[in-house]
Amino acid sequence: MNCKSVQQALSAYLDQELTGSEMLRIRSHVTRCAACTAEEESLRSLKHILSNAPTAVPAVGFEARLASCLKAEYVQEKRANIKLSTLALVSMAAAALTFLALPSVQQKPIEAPKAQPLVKSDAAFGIRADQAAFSGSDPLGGGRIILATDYGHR
Amino acid sequence: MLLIAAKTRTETTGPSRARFEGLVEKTQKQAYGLAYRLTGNAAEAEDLVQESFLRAYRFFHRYDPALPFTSWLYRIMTNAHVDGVRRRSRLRTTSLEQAGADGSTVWELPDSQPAPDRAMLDQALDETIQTALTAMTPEFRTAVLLADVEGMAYDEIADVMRTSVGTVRSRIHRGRRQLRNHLLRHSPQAYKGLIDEL
Repeated sequence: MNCKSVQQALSAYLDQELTGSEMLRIRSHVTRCAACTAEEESLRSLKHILSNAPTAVPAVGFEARLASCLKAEYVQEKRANIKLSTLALVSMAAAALTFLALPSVQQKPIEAPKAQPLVKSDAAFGIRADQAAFSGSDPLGGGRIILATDYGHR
Repeated sequence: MLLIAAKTRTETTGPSRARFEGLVEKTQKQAYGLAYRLTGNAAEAEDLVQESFLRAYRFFHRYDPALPFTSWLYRIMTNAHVDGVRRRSRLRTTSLEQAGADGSTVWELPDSQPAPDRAMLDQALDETIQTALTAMTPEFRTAVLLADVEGMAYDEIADVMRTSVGTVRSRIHRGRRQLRNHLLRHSPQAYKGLIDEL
């Protein structure tokens, strides 16, 4: 192991977060290397300083302020729940009413429009002899040709 | 859909709320200790604790009792802290650029207004260490504090920070070196004094 790889692993070594064989390799190198020994001692001192740093004590009233903050959240949550429940009930009521109203709507027979003959009688056109006329009674049919049929006078 | 939403909101009522309140009472001072070290002042520490417990309450139905409550709370707290630091960093960096500062970053700003409860700590130690902690990269600071102040194992820290053990190992190592170098550069006498006291 070279110094660079050992120094990269020194924090994990101090925290005993390496495997047994890795720990042995690091220890073996550190005992023979002055630079790595100095680095190991420096990091160990820092770790001790942090571990022994005093715990901060909250200011007076901290617990009461936290409790008050959480209480406000409970109240807000309760209001939100009431709103949601009301909305859910109204939605369910609306859905139920729609469901109940549907059969009466469906029972009403739908009357198909009755077709009205556009041409009741060819006579209505008053076709005279040797006259021909088009009647557009069927828009898809391309028109109906009505020819004069009374050739009696000829 | 509405019923599901209503149910989600009511998960922390009744017995669950009582359980939650019990956990708050048990862990609030410990949580404050970490929050103070993360933020470096009393007002921000208290805000961070309140924000963390509020988030914990809102998502208490997702809490897995197999995990220690403090680990879960610290996960929430460290996320809230990093979010807050990034938000403030953006604001302060912008204002520094606008003021035509000499290129110093937000991390190099000294804490000119000590918090009122600093008197409760060992003054010399706290000033020196806390200033150096505040100057650290947030992710490094979190990893180092969880390891050295909270005494957590790397796999627990990885769980709290939602990252790999390898990343935790790297953050702790780089964090300690960053902290030590800051102390040697900015407070060599005080740092030497701290070492001599060991």
